[in-house]
Amino acid sequence: MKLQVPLLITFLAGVFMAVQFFVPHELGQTAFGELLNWGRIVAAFALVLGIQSLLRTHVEKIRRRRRDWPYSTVAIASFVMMVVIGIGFGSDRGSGFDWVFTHVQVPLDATMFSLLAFFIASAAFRTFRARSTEATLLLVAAVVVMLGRVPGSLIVVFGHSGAGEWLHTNMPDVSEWIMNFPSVAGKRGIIFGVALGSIATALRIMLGIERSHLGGGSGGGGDE
Amino acid sequence: MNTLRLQAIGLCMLLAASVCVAQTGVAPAGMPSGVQAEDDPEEPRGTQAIVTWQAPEEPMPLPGLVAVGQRVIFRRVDGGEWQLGPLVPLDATSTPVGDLKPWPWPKWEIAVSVEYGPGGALGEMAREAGWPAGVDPILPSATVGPVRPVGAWYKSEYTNILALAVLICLIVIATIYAIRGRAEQVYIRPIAGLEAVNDAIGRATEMGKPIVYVSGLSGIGDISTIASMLILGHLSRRSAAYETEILVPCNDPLVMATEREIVRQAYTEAGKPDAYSPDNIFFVTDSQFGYVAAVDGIMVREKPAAAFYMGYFYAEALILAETGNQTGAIQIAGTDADTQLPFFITACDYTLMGEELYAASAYLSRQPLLVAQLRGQDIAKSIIAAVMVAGVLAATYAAIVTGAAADVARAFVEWFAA
Amino acid sequence: MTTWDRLLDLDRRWIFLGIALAVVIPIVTKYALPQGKPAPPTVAVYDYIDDLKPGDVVMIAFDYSPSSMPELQPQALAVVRHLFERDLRVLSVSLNPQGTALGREVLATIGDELGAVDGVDYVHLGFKPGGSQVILGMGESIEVVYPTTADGRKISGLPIMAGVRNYDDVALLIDFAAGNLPFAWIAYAGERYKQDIACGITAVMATDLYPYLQSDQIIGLINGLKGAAEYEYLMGLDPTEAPGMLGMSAQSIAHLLIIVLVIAGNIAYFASGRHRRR
Repeated sequence: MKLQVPLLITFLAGVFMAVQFFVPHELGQTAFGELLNWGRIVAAFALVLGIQSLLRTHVEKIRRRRRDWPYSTVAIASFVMMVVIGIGFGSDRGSGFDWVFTHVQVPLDATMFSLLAFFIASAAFRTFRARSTEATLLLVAAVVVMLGRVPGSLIVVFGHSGAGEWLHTNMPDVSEWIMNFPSVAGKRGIIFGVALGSIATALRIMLGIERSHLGGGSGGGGDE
Repeated sequence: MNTLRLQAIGLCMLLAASVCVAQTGVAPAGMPSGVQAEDDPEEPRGTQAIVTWQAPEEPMPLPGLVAVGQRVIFRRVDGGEWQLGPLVPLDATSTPVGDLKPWPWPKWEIAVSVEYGPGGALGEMAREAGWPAGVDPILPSATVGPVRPVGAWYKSEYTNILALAVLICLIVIATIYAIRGRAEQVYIRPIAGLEAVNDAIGRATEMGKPIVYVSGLSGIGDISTIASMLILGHLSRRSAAYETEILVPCNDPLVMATEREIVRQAYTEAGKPDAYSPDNIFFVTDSQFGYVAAVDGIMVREKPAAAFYMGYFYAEALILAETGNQTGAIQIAGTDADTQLPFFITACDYTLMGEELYAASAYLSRQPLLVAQLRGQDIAKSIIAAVMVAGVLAATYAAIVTGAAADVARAFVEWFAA
Repeated sequence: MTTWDRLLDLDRRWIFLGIALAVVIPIVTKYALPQGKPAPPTVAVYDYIDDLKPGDVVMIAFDYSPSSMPELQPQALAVVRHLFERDLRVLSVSLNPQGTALGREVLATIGDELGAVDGVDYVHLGFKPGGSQVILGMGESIEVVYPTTADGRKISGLPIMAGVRNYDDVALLIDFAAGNLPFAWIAYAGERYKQDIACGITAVMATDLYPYLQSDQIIGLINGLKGAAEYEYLMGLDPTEAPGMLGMSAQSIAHLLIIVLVIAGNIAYFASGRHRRR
């Protein structure tokens, strides 16, 4: 019973979501919207769980004086400060919340994102090798696409010579072609696989074949 | 202060005007007439009617006010307040009216009236201040009803999708039941990333260091997150057996709650319920790069022996994987985010690509029903490939040849393209 | 250990330093590189906007967060400048909570510079949670979904909203986004309500959107910082001041450095004989 009821709910919810996709009537769409609302409500309550988890993790760390515990005080202080500023004084333009968002969150987020540039460079240097024919093709395509994305750099290398001007004019087209055809073809192949995998995963969860998430093992069978 | 006074005067004038219209009782001259309404066939939800009428040549004059447009209003026939519909220009004779909710199957009365507002600078000021510009339309000039729009119960333009979805589901289900008894004979292509899972857990056990598991950055509604959680179940069952610590930082509280339950269950099944610590599955933040900073910090401090990245990832993929690479962890990634696959392939030891993420649960468990489902999936994929080839041939044929056969080929292509 | 081996084992922090210098120096010195030919998808967006009549309504969705600002904010600034210069009416919304502040900033900055009036030439409706529900809702009535602007004014009385009811009255929708929201706009506003859509996206998302471009489900695509620079170029902005073109110089030099690193890495790989050791 402990297993059957969740399986039944899963099946019914899955069937409903699949059917409503084909029903444009207001009734179906309202029910769909209502289910989405339920999801949002559940998510809102789950956020409480999340906050509780966050605070508990850091309070425990401070209480037990674990390694790097002072950072946990910073995390908790930041959390409390944003809650007080946001709820207490609003979040409109010019408010304290807006100021912290613009001058703390924006630069911090941008900084983390910018790490990508450094990591791409070091990863490319470390692993991008012409080890085989396929890898060489990939390497050449990557260099062409990169140059096509930054045609100005070709002028830096070749100057305003004939070759420089020709590459500067035509490299973006070659890059665009690679993006538009070979890349999209490969991508579509992956999308087909992913779509089928999604359908199959959804089916096996709806039909109760996969139930490891409910604590019943996979389809009643053990794990190896 | 002057503005306020003007607004007050404007309001008084509006009230006066509304009384004036109310006292006329029936549709007076200078008001819309001959209102008709019918279901909007273009609107499948069943909440919209097309209303037509004759517009007045000259709107009825009201002292101090100007006509700003014609307002459609509607109410339920069995009583209820008039609700405002669209405001249309004075010369309009037709408009769609939405929001005619079909539940619990009410019928509607629809009316059209002229809407007035204060003229000149006062009106301009009222509009800028966001004041209601019109008269409260208590008695409209002409009504029609009862009317009930008709909704559609089936989206016929999705027939091709429905047919293919049903076909694929049937193939998968039929295959499951056809070969479930001999599933162990089904060949599954070796997937290096999944073969390495045991090695990764063994390494973590030997080194006495934890495993970090990241289940992507999309929410619980994403099928890749669900696939990731299924893999976590298998993984934690094995790590529980070896009593290897598994850290699961989460960026979605719902995912966290579900994963706690999955890991708890896995520890119980492995006979180590006491080794389960809910604090190892924790919420960090839902901010993308805040989460990345936290996970990177955990990896740099804890130096995990193995890191798993399974699920849907965005720009953070390489930042996570490169940091893991620097700390020397054995890394296994799996994602259906094709834009992030190159980054994982570059920085991780093994990568599950696209559908391999979905196949992982079957691969790890070798459970007959799941293995059979993989076979069904492959058959469906072959059919899709065949249909694609047929589509290309048909489209080419239709482009270079004319005649009945070409029309059939074109219809075949268009049926899919619809 | 040979020189080649030392090169292959180069401490990654030297690479980090090289990238930092490649990015910082062009920005600090305002080094402007010549622009290449603008990509057709960018030109398509530019031309579409250029062909609109003054007074037409363009809706912008600011669906990005600060992390993708460096790529998307220059795009948004250039496009909004173009819209105001063409005397188009601009409605803006945000389905990403962090995007609303960024959108407000873009509109206010360019609006102040070009004398566009809030409520008349543009209005920022702000953030609404619900994603696809918001998109679908506006197909029926923008006013129902957004009864008030982001700063609390009723939209029904605003001059900019005259004659604007739903997507039927919106000439073009432009989504600036770094996540999955363009797909929702295409599926719901585009497919369901036949709204013309253009997207401004981060470069890494480009391959995701190309299939939609090929099938004409979007009218054009502004692709990453390069797209922003191309748009600024099409508008004839000053390359030493426009953020996209300025950033593009830095990106060009950084790309060049990465290409040099890859080539050097391969030369060292073969010269050191490591390819034989595999």
